[in-house]
Amino acid sequence: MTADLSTPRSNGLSVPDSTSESPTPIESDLGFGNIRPLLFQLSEALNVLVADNVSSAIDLRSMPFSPGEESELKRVLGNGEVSALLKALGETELWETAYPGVWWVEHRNPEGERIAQSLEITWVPDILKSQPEDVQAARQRLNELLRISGENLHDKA
Amino acid sequence: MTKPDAQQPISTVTDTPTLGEMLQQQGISRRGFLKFCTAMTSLMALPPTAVSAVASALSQAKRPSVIWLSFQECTGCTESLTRSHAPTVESLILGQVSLDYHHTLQAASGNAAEEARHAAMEANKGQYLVVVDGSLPLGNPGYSTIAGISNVEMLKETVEHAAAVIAVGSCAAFGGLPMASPNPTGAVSVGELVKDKPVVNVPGCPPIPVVITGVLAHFLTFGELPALDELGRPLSYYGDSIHDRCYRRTFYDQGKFAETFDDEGARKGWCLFKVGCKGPVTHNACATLKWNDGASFPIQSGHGCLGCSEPKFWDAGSFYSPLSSPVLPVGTVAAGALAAGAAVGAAAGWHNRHQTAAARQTHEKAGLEDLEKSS
Repeated sequence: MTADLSTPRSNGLSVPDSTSESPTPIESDLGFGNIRPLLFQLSEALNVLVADNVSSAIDLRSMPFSPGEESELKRVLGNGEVSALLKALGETELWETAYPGVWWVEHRNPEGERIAQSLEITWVPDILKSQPEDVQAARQRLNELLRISGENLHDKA
Repeated sequence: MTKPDAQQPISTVTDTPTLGEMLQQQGISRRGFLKFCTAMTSLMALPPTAVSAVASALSQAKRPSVIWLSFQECTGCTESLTRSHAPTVESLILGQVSLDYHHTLQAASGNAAEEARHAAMEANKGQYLVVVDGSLPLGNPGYSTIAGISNVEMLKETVEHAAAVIAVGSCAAFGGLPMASPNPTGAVSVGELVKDKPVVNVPGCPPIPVVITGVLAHFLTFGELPALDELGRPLSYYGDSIHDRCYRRTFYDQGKFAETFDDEGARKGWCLFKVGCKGPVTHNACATLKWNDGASFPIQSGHGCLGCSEPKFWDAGSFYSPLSSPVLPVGTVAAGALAAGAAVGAAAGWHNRHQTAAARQTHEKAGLEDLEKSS
């Protein structure tokens, strides 16, 4: 049985059905190149994440991709249930791939040029979390807003 | 005098706010800063797990003063740098590096430019970085001068109180094209003249833009120069050969080669070893970082590597002869041609033109022999 391509976890490859008594072998056309070794690396990184709770990342810029290989990797990993757009010093796109725990992260500068691209193997990428320094600044700004608002109320009274 | 260890931390900071303070003043969020650090970590070819260390170091980093000297060069290295994408060179140069002298990019000219150089040297004595592109002529000093000052004199004067020197491009690093046989100007590399300061070689004709900025970024981040190979090149970019990181390597291993530029092998993207690729003996990061915002690199575009980041690549034989073929010293050929007289050159020129005309008439496809120059 093959995966339903309309589901969010879609990557266009046939995958074995865990409920089937005789699973269909994985069909793929990964061939030569970087994709299969990368998938092995991702598999091991997921193993470490689950077993030891240790996150890791792969800088895709250091990969000697052949023409079209990067987009093929993107297709193979597919899209999962979560995607996010971060707007800080240009846009950053993040999405969980069809393999939960594997996140594709693309950073762009304000001119839209890609400045970094990585796969993060983690529960949730750090850059998505609110940062303590920003939270501290937010608290101060809120307190200042409340102080000014309080003074205005006092003046009106 | 013993050459200082490039790994020793070097103080090159000017009396300015830290980078963290500057970004905070500009209202950059911590997320923005982390993103910047991620790009810098990738730029420096460090593992992604180093982002937090980079963030910690960068938040305390101060802007180093940089003096950029251009000697016997073609401005290709500066062209390369100004097309650097990650992070934008504008932010790197204007925001993170105090570029106090660069006679191609700076607005000042003439005496004002030279005064800016002297002012930067005086204000940052012992702390500034000197970046050099171009080789230096040891022959007649008049071969290359700036503001009436010979290249050698300007280098010695500027380097005297520098913290370190970065030789950008194959000309500065190894002599490059100006030093190619018969080296008419007596050109030498920066390293031949600077013996008492750390010198980092960033060769390439030109170097990959992000490699230039990556070395500067490493210095900015950690206050020290990156680890170097035996030729003074940063290991993070020049540690592997083009061949070892080439996506066509698998075809080399299978014995599948392009024999000409228009045969089946070429069309199928097989290994370019037999049409002269110098990838196996060339150390650079083209196969991974690539060019033009990561779009491609020569081998991906169907042409072999020229070996431009290796010493004396101009004199290493034809760009289209396999590495396995013997290289006839250029000096021998030149001497032979001189002995035979100008008639040989004229005859060879006529022969080439005749061959080209004949090929046009018969619509022959260009082969390797057409790319070779026999005179």
